[in-house]
Amino acid sequence: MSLKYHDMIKDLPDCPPITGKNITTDSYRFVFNDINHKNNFLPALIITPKRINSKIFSEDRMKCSGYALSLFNTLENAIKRYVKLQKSVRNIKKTIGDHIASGLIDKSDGYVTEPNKHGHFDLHEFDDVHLKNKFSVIYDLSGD
Amino acid sequence: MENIQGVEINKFPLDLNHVMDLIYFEGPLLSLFKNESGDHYLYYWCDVDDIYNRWIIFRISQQNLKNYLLKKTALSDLIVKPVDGFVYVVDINDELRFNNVCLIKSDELPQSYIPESDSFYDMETELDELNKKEKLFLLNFLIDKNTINYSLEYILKYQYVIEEIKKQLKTENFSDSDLPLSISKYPADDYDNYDNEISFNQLFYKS
Repeated sequence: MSLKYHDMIKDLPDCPPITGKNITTDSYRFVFNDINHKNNFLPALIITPKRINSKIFSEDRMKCSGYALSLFNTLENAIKRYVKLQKSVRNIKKTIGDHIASGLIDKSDGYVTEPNKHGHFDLHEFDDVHLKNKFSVIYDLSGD
Repeated sequence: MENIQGVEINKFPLDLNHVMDLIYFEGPLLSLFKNESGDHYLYYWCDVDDIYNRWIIFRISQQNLKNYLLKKTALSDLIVKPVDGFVYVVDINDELRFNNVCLIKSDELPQSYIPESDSFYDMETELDELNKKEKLFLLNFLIDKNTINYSLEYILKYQYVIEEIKKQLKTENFSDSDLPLSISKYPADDYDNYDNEISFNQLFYKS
């Protein structure tokens, strides 16, 4: 099965990374409350306007990750990351949303990278995957 | 986006080179830049609409940068009390074109653009996003000889961070020859010869 952003990453070495596996796992993602929000399930390099102020994505590793979806392996890890981000960037909700959606990722969805020690991992989606149909909003981070 | 009451200027006047991203989630949120004279500047993401991302750009002293990295100073303090007394606010589109460049006093920034008072740098988390070059930059920045003499207390406090950088670098074929000059010129087995210096073995070669 081909990857959704195959054309963009086909020339990048080790992309998806060799740690990329297609396993079944619970996953959590920052989203806007409206599950239909246009940016909810788009990778950073597809979202407009892009939050890029540098040549950061000229590096292959970052470019590869830029075409993947950011996920967390537990609700706790997702909340912890958000709370820390929000201390430094009060308007973070305007770019990544202020809710958490959860869904089960399986081998039909794509390749996932190994979670880092804070539980963050990337999903490189297969071509015909629409996570919106598998995820539901479960947690409000807005404090409202 | 919030309405900004600054002084509009025609063109962003600085020529800055990207050094590294200090806070990153699905793209940079706080990035370190440098000009040709070696002055450091921070790009701080603060807002977005359908066309632009808005950044606050301001100069930061070497010492303030160190203090921020070592969690002595919060990001809010850096923005509220910038070295130059003012910051630039710029709107940048997808093509990296600068629009609506303005100069503004920090106390005139919208409240939502000021980080919380405990916005200390979370290096442990951010390390996961850094590449080898960026880790080396941090290592160099944090453990140069002057810093060690100046703020031993903080180096010791955050030794785990340095160890973590080294551990991660090792998995990326890091070798001792990659060590920043400030360490490599003081070999571990010779540290006793450096009067008033702390034990480099203790800090960096604990294995």
